[in-house]
Amino acid sequence: MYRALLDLLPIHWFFKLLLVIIILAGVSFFCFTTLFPYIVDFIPYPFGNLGFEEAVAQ
Amino acid sequence: MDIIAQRWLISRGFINTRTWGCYTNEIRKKQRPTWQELTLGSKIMAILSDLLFTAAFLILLYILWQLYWTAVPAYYDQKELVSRSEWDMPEDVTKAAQPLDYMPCDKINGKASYERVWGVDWQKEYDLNWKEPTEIKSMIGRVYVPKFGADFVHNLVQGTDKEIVLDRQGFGHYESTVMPGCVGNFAAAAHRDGYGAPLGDVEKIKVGDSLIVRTRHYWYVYSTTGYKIVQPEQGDVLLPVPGDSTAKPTKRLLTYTTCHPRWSMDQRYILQGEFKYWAEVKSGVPQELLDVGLKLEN
Repeated sequence: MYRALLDLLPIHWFFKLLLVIIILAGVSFFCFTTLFPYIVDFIPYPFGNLGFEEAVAQ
Repeated sequence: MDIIAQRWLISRGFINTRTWGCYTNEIRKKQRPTWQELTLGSKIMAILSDLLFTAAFLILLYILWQLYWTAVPAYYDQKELVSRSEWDMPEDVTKAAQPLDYMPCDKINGKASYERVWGVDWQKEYDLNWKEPTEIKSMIGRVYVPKFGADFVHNLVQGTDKEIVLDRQGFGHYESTVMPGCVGNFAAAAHRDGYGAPLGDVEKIKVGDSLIVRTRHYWYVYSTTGYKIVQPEQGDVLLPVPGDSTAKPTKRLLTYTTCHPRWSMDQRYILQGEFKYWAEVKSGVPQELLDVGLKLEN
């Protein structure tokens, strides 16, 4: 599918490769700085105040 | 590549033109159907496979982020907090610190010991009762482990909140435990993997290895006495006398907690140490850190 889309672009293969690299780098940067830090909050992590501290308090 | 060479490679089977290796448009057009020529089933399979590859790529990115990239913001957050702290520096960073001949946290004239030890009003500096912190404004100290080399240093801040403490500052001090050097159990938590993994190699620390905490004015040097692997709900390892809730503490202990096994959260690895000596930062750097080549910089 992606290759078919790239075939539609009337540019040299080198620029297609460049475009793919730029898109992958952009996606990676977005994931690393925005998306993943956001979604990680929804993953339960039994540590910190939910772990030993509560056990000690009890 | 020369067209004759290409055809020779293809004829000998070195290049499989059905899957890859179509170097010229001429060959590509003959060997590979266009998108329009694909049947509906092939189109669906093509889209599905591309989506699966995309998902695999994102999952790979997530793993890389969790294990390695999270160390980057943690490193800069710690560096930023250090840059905001005005701490003592040794007069000579190559000189061994002189152990003090009295013990930390002892009561002087009936006054709370930490005020003297820290040289600051502890209650004002750190609100010990905070429950929902939103920002770390100051640190208790910095943690050194000579076994991990001169480059190993992480911040130690109050509390064990995952998001603002453990994910960003390295070590978090359990609020229910005493401060470094005091009689009782000084306990701190840190990640085993991800976010810089301060205790990623905790299993390499053996009995007798030094564990060092530096505060604004003092070095506290502990010696490793052993380790335990416990269940997450076994909080008694943090008691002033670990495992005994009624005993009166007489020793100055240290406890570092982290996840176990590595890459898992099933259990907790408990590293235990006992106080060896303490020294003023101004007097120098602990010999244990000089031995591994620490060049102290603020």
